[in-house]
Amino acid sequence: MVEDERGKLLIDSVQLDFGHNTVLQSAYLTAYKGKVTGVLGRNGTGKSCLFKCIMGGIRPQNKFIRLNDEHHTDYGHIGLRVKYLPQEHFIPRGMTVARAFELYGVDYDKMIAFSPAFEDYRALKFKEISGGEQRIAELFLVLNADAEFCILDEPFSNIAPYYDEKIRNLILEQKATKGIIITDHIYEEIIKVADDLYLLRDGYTHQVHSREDLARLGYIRM
Amino acid sequence: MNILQKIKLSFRYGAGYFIVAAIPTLGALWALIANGPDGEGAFICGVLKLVSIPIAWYLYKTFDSKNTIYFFLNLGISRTEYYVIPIVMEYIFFRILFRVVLLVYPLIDAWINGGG
Repeated sequence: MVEDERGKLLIDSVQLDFGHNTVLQSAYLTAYKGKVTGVLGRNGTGKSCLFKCIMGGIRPQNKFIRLNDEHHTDYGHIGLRVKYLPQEHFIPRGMTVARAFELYGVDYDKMIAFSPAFEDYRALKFKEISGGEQRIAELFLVLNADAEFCILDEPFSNIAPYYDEKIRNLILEQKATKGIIITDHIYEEIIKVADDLYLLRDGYTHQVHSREDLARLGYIRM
Repeated sequence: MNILQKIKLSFRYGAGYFIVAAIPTLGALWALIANGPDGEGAFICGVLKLVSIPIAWYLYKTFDSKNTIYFFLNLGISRTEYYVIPIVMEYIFFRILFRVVLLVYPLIDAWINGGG
C-alpha cells in the first residue's frame, strides 16, 4: 500500500508481433516512484521494444498502461510524465546542446557540475561533440527532466568507465523523486542499483528476486 | 507544451517532410499556371497535391532518423502529432500559395498573352 501512495506505473498485457514473429506476449511490469526497476534479458528478447511500446514509438497489438491507478491514462502524451532514453542517440544532431537543455527545462549549470567539459559545449551542436559526450548529455537530460518516471535503455553503454559511478549516483539521487526503469547488458550494474528486477524471456516477463532465479531462467551461469 | 510551441518545433523535426513535399507542391502550382485555374488546371493541381501527400509522408517516414521521434515524444508531442502537424502545416502553406497564384494569375495570363 505504501508503494501505491508513492506513485505507480503499471504496464500489462503487452502483445507485440512483427508478422509471424512474436516479440512480446502478455508482458507486464510495475514500477514505483522511489524505486529502481531493472529489466534484464538477452539480446533480442524485446526489452527495447517494450520501452518503445510504452512511449508510443511502436504500436503493439495490445497494451495496457496505467499511471497511479488513474482511470484514464493519456497514452499519446505520456512523454509529459515518462521520459525515455533510447539505446541510440536521439537528440537531433543539428540542435545545440543549450537548446536541448532549454527544451527539457534542465539547468545547464548542473550539467557542468556533473561534467566540467560541458562548459565549452553550450553553443555546440550535438553532431560536433563526441558520441560518448552526447550519450552523457542525453542521459543527464532524461534523468533530470521533470517527470514521474524515467526509462533508461542501456545507460552505461558507450560511456567511459570513469562515469559509471557518477551515473549510478545520479540514478540513486533521482530515484528520490521519481521511478526509474533501467536495462543494460552490464547486468552487474543493474543489480547494484535495482530494487526490483524483471527478466524478459521468450516474450514473457518473469519477476526475479535473486541470482538463483536468474540462473534458473538461464540468464546467467552460477 | 501548447499547440503553437508544437507547431514551432514541427518546423525543425518536419524539415525533411517540407523538403520532400516542396517538389510536388511546386509541380502542382506549375500545372495550375500552365493550364489555367478554370477547369483542368485546378483539377490537375488538386490531384497532384493529393497524390503527393502519402508519397512525401512515406519518404519522410522512411528516411527520418528512427530515434529522433523520442526526443519529441519526451516533450509531450504524441506520435500522431509528430507526423500530422508537418503535413497540415505544409498543406496550409500550399493553400496560401494556391491563393496567391489565383490572385496573380490574371497578371501572368496578360503577360503571357501580351508577350505572345
